[in-house]
Amino acid sequence: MSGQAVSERIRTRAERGDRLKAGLALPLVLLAAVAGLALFGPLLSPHDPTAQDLLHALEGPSLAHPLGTDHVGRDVFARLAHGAGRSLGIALACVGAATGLGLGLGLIAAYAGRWSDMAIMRLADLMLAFPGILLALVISGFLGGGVLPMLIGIKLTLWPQFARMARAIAQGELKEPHVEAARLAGFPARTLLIRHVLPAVLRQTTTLATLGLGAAIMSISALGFLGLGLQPPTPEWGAMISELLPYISEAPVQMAAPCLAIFISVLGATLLGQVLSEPDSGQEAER
Amino acid sequence: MRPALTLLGSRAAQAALTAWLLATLCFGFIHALPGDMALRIAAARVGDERVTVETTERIRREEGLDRPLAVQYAAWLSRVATGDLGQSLVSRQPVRQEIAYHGRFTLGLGALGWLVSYLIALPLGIACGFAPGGWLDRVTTGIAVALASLPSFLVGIGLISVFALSLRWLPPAGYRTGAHMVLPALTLALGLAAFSVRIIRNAVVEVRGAFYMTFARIRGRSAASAFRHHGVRNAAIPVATFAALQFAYMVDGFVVVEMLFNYPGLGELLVKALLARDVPVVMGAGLVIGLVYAGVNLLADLACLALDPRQAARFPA
Amino acid sequence: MNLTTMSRRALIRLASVLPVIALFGSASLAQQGEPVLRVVAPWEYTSNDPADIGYILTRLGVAETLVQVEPEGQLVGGIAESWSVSEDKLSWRFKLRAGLSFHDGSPVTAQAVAASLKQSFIGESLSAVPLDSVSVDGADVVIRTSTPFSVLPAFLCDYASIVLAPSAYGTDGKVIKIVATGPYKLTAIDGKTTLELDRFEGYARPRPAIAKLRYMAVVNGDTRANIAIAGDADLVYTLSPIATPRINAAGQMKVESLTIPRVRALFFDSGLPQFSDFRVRRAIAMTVDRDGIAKAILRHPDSSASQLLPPIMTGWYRQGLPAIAHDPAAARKLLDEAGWIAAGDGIRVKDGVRLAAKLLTLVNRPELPVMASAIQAQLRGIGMEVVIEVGPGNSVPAAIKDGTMQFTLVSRTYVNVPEPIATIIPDFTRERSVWGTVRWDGRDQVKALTEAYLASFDDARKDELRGQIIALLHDQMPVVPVSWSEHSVAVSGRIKNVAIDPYEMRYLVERMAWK
Repeated sequence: MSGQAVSERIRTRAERGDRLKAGLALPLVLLAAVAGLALFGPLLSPHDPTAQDLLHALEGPSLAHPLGTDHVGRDVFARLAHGAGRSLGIALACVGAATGLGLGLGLIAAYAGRWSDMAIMRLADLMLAFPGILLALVISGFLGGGVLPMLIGIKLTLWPQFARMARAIAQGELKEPHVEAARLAGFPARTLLIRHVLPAVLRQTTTLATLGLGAAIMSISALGFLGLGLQPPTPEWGAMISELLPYISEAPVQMAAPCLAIFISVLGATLLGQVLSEPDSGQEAER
Repeated sequence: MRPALTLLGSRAAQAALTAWLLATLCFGFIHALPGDMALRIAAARVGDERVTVETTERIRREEGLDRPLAVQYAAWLSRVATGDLGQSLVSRQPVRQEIAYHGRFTLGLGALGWLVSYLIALPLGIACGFAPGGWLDRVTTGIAVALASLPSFLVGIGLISVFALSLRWLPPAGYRTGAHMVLPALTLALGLAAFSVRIIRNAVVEVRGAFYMTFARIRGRSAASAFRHHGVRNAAIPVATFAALQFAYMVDGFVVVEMLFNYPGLGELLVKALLARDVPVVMGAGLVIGLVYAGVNLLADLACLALDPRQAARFPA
Repeated sequence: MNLTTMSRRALIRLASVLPVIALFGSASLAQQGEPVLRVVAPWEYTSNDPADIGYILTRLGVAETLVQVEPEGQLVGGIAESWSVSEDKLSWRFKLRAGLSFHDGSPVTAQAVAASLKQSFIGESLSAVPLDSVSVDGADVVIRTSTPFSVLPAFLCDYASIVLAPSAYGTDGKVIKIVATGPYKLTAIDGKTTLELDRFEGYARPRPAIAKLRYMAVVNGDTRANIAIAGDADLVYTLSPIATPRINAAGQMKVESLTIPRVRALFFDSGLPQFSDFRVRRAIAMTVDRDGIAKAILRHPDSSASQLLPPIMTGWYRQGLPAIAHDPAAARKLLDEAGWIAAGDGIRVKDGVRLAAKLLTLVNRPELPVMASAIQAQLRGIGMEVVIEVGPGNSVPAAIKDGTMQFTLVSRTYVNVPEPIATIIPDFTRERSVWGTVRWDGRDQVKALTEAYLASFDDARKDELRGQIIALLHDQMPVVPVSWSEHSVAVSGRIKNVAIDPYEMRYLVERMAWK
């Protein structure tokens, strides 16, 4: 019995490479589709995403407007495509900023230990307890709406995960003999962290960052939906949904388009994160 | 009992610290917000369109909003020390009463949502864990991943469109009866279950592959019996830890779900208090959310401790 | 028994308690038997102070004022049966209806009414009244003003002046509970959202047909529309015109609407170089496609506003005013004349100032941001750049106060009391209004006219003054009216005799009946 289990494990390991490749296909296609929409969509559509045409409001799909027009006659495809660039761009910026902040603080916590460790990790707990949406709302109020408050708000809610992960790995890594040796040899803290600890941390970061990307896209659209995100007439998926909601029965296609766009991009990011985390199944439990 | 008590003690201190920090953060945020506080409060009291300069000035005087910030903060802190959270600047009701009223609804919705999520996730997760790779596992995983990729407002809109507006089985908003609770609880539950079903499945798969299970099978127990006697407890540990983690997700979810369904919970109270600059309510709610968060974490730790006494080593005296 | 099993049991016990807690929060208060009329409206019952929520009490028929207004516009007695003004026009005598009682059974005496009115006059909403004294003379209440104030009866319709019983007030003069005189009395208040009301059996003018009422506050307009679509109420008030077709198509409730004296309009900070010249404001008025907006966005062609107040306000609607046609070409010419010349990017410039401004509008009326984006696109066509900011309901007074308001698109009612002068004065005669114009140079002219209006007891003279005020606003354009509002109410098939009050003062449930 146990022999069978062992051979199963060996086989699994051998197959893992192939499975990884197979698993990567779907998320990459999904993300490529969204990225393609963001990059080439605006070129394909001749329409200005904010140009109104009240006489042609709420028209169904046609050659001129492949996804129809919204309640003030704007081309939905153009808004979708321009919105893709914004959603992805802001989400990437949020994740990038959160990664930087989280890794930095996590490494400091692990290296310095004691009080700074305690303070940083309590702060991380605190940020986890504070509803991200409220945080973004408060900061939006403070900074007057737009990209920056959203970026700060979402970044602040994402960084604790990175900090926790970085701290956990770094604590293990700092105990490794070769790192210990380097420390004894008198290498400065910065060198130690950058040369030895950071590479180990970065391997895990990719997974977490991919999952974070999905979370960020969701948060951006939720803020847009609640009217707390990008200000109109900026095309943004969440705002498009809330604008079109009263017309749901007259404009099902126009309404479905941004919903699908959010779904596909988050799904792509989530699946990619899962596939990347698979070689180490323990990490799968992390959200 | 020892480790549990130590844990309780250190966690209680941590909880107080977290709650105080959160409330102080709220105080800082709300005063950093631009705009005249007295005017915001006046608008929340008499309605946006009836605000006058005279009302605004009277409120500023009466509520002591013209005092220096440090004085206002100290006054709040000394009141809280005696257990008094003050009065709402808008309703002029005690904050404790407001939080108790709205908290009751959030607690009800949260408990129901959480329960429903496990009613969905537990049987599905265990079934999938017993046949990983089977059709049920693949379908469940597919649906779970799809649900996890939908923001809760989309799930809520979908449920409202189908069950309230098209089929008219359930009311679209409100809180008065059990029927009103179904859609918001389901919105919350689906979001939670999407994550927990995978955690449960993985925990079950992991446990079933463990050596003590193999050993139990060798001793002659059936697969189901072996799982009942040895598997459940081991599988429950990551699940309990995760259940606490879900709290953070829930708090976020409450804000959206309560706004969407016009449900008078804490999230709704907090958003409205923020917009109205109702400082005592915002700080009180911050305090309570912080305490509850710490409490949930403590509960999860206690649960893990109960399930796996070896973990006592993790919490040194 | 070891710790493990004990704790596990505790966990199980906890788990079994959770659903009980859940149901606790949703315990239904619904009673069997008598049908309950379910009313949904956007206003939350935030406190007991009549100055804050008095309008909910008057709308639901809980509290009454001395004077009331009928949907057709004439002032009638509420608690007062009739009133007269003295020879010197300073002293108003109100004769109370005989045999009235408060909800607690105590009689409505002149002393009680006078005491309640004195409390109302302490608040700010009646501060426009030049009050001298409130006194009791026999069975009558006498109100003296320090200067002639011809519109006093209209001002006494204000919800802040509702009459409450002596038992409603605490020792400090603050209202501790609502004990009033209306056809319905409050029986339960659940949080800020739900009010339960019963027919007041002591009310007999005539006896209301519907015995039980439940009021539910739903702030979000889309949610209110959903409730109407699902048919989960009997009356849903203040609906967005956008939602009307969906509600009617769903077949559960029917939308009835009426054009009311509430206008969606652009107000300007005329102190800014962009807006100081009335020709710019006029050009904007000629560019905004009011008919297009009314048709495409509001879906109600009749709501296009040609002047400040709609025809239903006879007296304030002036027929002879020159129409302002939708003519962007003429608007461009007007801007050229005014010295605003298009620069390279198509935006006009004068003396180094770009014709650009921030348009502040509000999130709480869902049609406003849509209208704002239409106006933004239209103004772009004459070389004006508009940035839209959508703020919460109180952001306009805030912006005016801190000087960041440039121009606004808001929905403004002119019948807080059934006399638009009460809103015209604060909106157009101050340097910085709370909701209206800022730094408009015509404010002193309007002030002189309104003062004459308040002091005049001659109907012909007052009509002439109304004409002059509206003509001045129409000519100088400190405000550009875009559309008049519809007061839309969704009505279920269970009730009849539904009347809509254009003054939004009363829901008139006491006149409705079950089918």
